[in-house]
Amino acid sequence: MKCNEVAEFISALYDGEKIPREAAEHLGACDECGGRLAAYSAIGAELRRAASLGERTDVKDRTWENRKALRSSWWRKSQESMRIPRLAFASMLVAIFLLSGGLVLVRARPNSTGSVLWLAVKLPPDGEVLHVALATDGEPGSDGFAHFSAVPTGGIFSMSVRFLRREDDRVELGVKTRYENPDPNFTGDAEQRLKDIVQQSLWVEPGRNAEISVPGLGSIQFAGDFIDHKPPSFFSPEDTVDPKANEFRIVSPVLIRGREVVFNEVGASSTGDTSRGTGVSIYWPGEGRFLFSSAPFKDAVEGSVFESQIKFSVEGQEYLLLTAVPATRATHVWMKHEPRYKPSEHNTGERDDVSSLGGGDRSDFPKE
Amino acid sequence: MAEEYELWERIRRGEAQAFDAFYREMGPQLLGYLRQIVGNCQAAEDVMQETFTQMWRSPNGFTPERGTLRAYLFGVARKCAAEWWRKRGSVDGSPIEEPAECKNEIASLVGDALQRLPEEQRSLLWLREVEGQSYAELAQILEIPVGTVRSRLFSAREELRMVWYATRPVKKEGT
Repeated sequence: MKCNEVAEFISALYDGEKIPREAAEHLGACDECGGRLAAYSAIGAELRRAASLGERTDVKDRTWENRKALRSSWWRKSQESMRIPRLAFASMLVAIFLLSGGLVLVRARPNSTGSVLWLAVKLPPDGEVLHVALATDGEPGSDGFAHFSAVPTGGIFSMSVRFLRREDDRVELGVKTRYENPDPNFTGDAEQRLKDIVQQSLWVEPGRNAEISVPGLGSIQFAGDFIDHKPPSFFSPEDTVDPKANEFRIVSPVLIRGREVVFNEVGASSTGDTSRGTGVSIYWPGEGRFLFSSAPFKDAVEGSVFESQIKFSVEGQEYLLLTAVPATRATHVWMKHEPRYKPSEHNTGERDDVSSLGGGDRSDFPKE
Repeated sequence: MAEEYELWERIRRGEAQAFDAFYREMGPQLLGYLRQIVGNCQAAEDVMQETFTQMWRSPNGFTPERGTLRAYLFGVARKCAAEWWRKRGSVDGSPIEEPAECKNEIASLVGDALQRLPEEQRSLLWLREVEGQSYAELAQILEIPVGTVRSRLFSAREELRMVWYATRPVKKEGT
């Protein structure tokens, strides 16, 4: 071999690669090629030396704001920043983000020695019941949840509940509530909405109902039992694997485009009811908004449903949406992708870098 | 690898603390690289911040099957740097005048020689020689085949060798 034929192999050899026998033989006998190898080595060492001289060991302090709340530390996250799209509030349905516990597949059994309070919260005016599991073996404030919903008779109801302490079979909760009617100029910031509300103490014990009065709305009833673990799911005990008629629900969704995971919203859930003209929307920073409904709506593409898998094709790409439970009784679903959607352009105070999942009665979702 | 996957899962779940640790570990290396790419320490700082911000806001771009997290980070950084060049109106990635306080940090003969190479060659050599990136990682960062990495590295080394020897002062012996 000639020097010019061996040159590239010298570079590879210097990088730790094996080279052909002929190239190796030539290199051993050629001063020029040996000199090239020595030059590469010297230049590499000099580059690393120069880099070492200029290397910094630190970077500027930065604050990485929590992108979204997590189920395991809901209360703490909600105190920092929690943002929910206005869409969620427009729904008659409850759009609960990442509640600290719930039950879908397994009913929790009351157990007076359990460390988890299985709380049932009955909301006015229509008696809707929320079920939430709260750990009672931690520090004050170590567990809690926040709830927001549009009230059927109008207005917005906000509530936060957190564990304070346990004494034998009694648990003290710190509760903040707020009812706003007519609709406020919603900013989507949970901390701001409940910031000036005085926290009330509420003792809950099995077999006895406790109440808190919400001016303008009515009384909220709290009942609780102790269970031995936190159920790993998101809905109320009435929910089953089998979706209700007209229900379309998404739980812990994972969206796959081709072979790429677009998003994985562990712990988030929302539901829509096609008879009430609602669907589910998911916003993910950088990907825009995805709207789903089990009935056709404007500009939506049709996809297929099998158990907890939804397949559809849009913009020339294949998508697979996985949810933790079967989404609907329907066999087809309609989906619309708005890649350029930005929450900040539609609702004051919303941010484009925070993911969200919610129900909604969008005008382009159909009523059956 | 398992640790890297675990770290990324935490970042994907939105754990700011995990991302901050990643930022503090990788930031200095990335900054060194970007200084070579954009040739200006303030711009490098800006591009680095933009890189981490992008990763934090859109954490799903990384897939472990396609390569390492480190390579993904440098790949994102390179694209951010390219965008910085585009906004600046430069088409060839030639370095801009360095503020005096930055010059001292990277001043060296070999550094000056490196700055005379095209951006891609600077990237390749820095990532290979200083950061120790593998051929596979370089292929991931530059989005080129591994075989092309090998040949382009050779070209870059030859270019730098010629520039370095042409500009290096001759040492006098015996003094």
